[in-house]
Amino acid sequence: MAGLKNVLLVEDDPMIREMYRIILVDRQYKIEMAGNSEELFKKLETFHPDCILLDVMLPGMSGLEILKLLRTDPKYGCQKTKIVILSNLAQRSVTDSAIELGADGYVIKSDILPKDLPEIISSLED
Amino acid sequence: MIRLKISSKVLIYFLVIALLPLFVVTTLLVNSAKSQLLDAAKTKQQIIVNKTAESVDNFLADKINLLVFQSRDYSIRKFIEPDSSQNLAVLIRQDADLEKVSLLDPKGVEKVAFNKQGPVSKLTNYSDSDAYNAVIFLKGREFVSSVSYNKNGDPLITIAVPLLENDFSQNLDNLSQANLGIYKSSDDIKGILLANYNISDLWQSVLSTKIGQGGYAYVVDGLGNLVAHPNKKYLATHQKIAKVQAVSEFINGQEDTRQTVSEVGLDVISTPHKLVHSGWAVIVEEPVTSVYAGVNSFIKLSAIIILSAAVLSIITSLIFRNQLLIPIRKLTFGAKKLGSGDFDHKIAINSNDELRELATTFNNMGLNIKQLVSNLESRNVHLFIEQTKLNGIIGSVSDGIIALNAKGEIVTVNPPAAKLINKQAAELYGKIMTDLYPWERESKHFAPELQKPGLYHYTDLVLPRGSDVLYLDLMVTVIEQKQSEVAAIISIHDQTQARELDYMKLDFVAIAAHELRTPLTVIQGYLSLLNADAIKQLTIYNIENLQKAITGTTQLRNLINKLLSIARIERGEMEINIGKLDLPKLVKEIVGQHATAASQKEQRIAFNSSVAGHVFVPGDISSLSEVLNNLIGNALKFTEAGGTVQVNLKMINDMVRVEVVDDGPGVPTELRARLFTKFYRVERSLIAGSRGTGLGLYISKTIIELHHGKIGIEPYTGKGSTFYFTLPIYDPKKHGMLISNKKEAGGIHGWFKKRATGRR
Repeated sequence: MAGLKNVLLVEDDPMIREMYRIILVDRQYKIEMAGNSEELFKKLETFHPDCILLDVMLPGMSGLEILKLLRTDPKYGCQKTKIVILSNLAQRSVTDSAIELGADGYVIKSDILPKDLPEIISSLED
Repeated sequence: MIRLKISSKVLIYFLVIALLPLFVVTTLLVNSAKSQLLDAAKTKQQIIVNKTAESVDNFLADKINLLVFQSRDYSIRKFIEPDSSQNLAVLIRQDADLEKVSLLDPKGVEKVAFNKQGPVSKLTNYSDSDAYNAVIFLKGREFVSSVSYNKNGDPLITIAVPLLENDFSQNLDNLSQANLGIYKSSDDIKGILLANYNISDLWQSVLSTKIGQGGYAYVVDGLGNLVAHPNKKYLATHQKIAKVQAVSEFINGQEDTRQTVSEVGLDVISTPHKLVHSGWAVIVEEPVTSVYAGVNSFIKLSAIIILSAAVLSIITSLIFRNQLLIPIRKLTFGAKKLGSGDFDHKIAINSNDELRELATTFNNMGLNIKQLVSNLESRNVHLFIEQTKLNGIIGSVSDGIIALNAKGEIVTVNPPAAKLINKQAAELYGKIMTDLYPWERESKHFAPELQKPGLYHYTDLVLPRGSDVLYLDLMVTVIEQKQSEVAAIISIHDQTQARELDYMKLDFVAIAAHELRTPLTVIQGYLSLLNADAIKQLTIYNIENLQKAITGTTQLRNLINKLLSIARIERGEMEINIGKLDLPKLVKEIVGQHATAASQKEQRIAFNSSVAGHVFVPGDISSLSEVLNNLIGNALKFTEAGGTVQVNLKMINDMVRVEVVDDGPGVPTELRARLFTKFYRVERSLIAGSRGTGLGLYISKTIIELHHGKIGIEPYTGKGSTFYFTLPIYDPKKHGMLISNKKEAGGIHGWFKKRATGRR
């Protein structure tokens, strides 16, 4: 695969969203963003990401619920899309659930710097 | 009951003692009197019967002799008139008893007859009469008829004398016998002299005979026909009395005096006496009652005496009974009082005898019992208080307490213990504890020790209760079983709530960490952007400041991560992702990472390996990195400027050992025990102004132990300290399986496509 360039960032905190947007745009990624599940599903109608960076603590539907839908419902076209959970939650219960629901990775936001993000995305390449 | 028995017994004794001899003596006396009376009566009867018989015999003999004498008269024998008529007329005139006299020819036809009035003109043929036939039959002997009665009720008899050819050889002493020698055949009978006598006078004398009171005489003939009886009515209706005992005995030849039964069924003493001239018998009878009449008064007197004696006995026995029974009743009453708990009751018996002794003994016994009872009561009260206290303690402690007997049955259980299985304490007695409490430990059935004496402490036990589980600590005391009912005491401490609190606390830590991380993410993210983009525009001074801000956020991040690690360890969720790890390479890399910081503090840091090339261990790269960072970081922290930190790697048997040696102040021995515990921090570090919590060593210890290694500190030598850890060397047989199940950790974050348990 010639790199995962279309990235969809699902994050409700505008400051974090902006921070990641800056770095990903700088590294030539095509990036779209959503603040909650509704925005996400709307975006997916027109945008087909190679990689989704998904927060857990979201207003409305949680990131894990979104993950489950994306992985089980073919209408979103995201059953094979790389999905990395990007959250500050580190409880075993959450991380285990995420892996079981089909996440390709789980990253603690405070453990990385924005510049690490491209490296994380490229590590997902098969 | 007893009282009645005793009183009746006493009465019986008295009656027996008083009355029996009296009765015996009386009986003997009565009997002897009776026999004397009987003898007297017999004698009297014999005299009377003889006299009576004699008078009757004489009477008849006189009559017969007179008739026989006349029958020898020639004129009579030869029917010569008027001489024979004259003789008959003289005969009837001289004898008042003679009512009629007749002369019969040999055919029985009357030839001459006289009565009181004179010659009888109408002559009778007697050929069919008893008298005529009897005389013919008697072969010359005279005949005396039975008694018959005329219309006046006067007794009549007929005497018939045969007229025989006489040779005059007369025996005047016994005229009737004289005839016997003359009679040869019935032809010798030439006629019959027949005389009818009224024997009222004789009868009067016989029947008026009185013997004692109610005794009488009567006459029967040889066939048992009643000849004379004082009761004429009786005579008229009972002619034949051969069945009467005395009569039949007479017929059978008995003439003794004996006791018989009379014709009316009375017991009588009777004496028969046979008459010479008629074959009759005079029988005298006296009723037994009459014979013993003399005794009756004696018996009456005796009865009065006996009755009096009986009354006296009863009165005496009553008095004696009271003498005996009143004390006994007092004793009985006292015993009842004693029985009902009145130990002060005194029995007062004034009689100076054994009963008073008994009463005294009894009173003393009451006193003793009272003392005993009061002792017992006070002990009981004491016991009760103790029991209440103990029950109160057992009942009110929040921990569950169960006591078992040797069979494992519950003998005591308090409400908290019963509540663990949603039961009431009372339901559990006698049941087997292990049946009721399905203890589990690490998801397996668990049986606490209940046999071997000793004290056992079990932690982290689980007890399922419905859909919940309870977390419990058990303290089991198994008692050396001698005679104690209790064999084991189990104290159960319910840790569930504490555990839930811990979890809540840990959840809180996790949530708090998340909340802290979000702004931290923003701060460190933008600082990094600033660092990358604006570095050319900043002065060196500002760049240094920016670096300090970045260092601070890094420390904050590490702190938060450590807190989360602790939370994970506490929840048992700490896991490592084992991979085949080249340990010298990792150590060298980590040492390299610290080199810059060390040089800035003018510290030296060196890595020495006794092994050339790779040494593989089964390890989690991020966890072991954390351990190394921690140990090296601490060493640098406690080493002063100009000091040296050495990191050494050695092989010891099948283990690899990593040492971090510093020349700092060292850790005093007394602090070492707590060094690897949570939140411990060497005080000296505060003085040194270094930052850091004590969490690192605790986390490191957990990580190394998860790797089946050991972590520790070498003994204190006065200066510097040596921290070390050992890890097993990688063995494909042992560790290959561990790794094949997991993908090789990918990338620097190590959170990809595997159970996210490790951390960076």
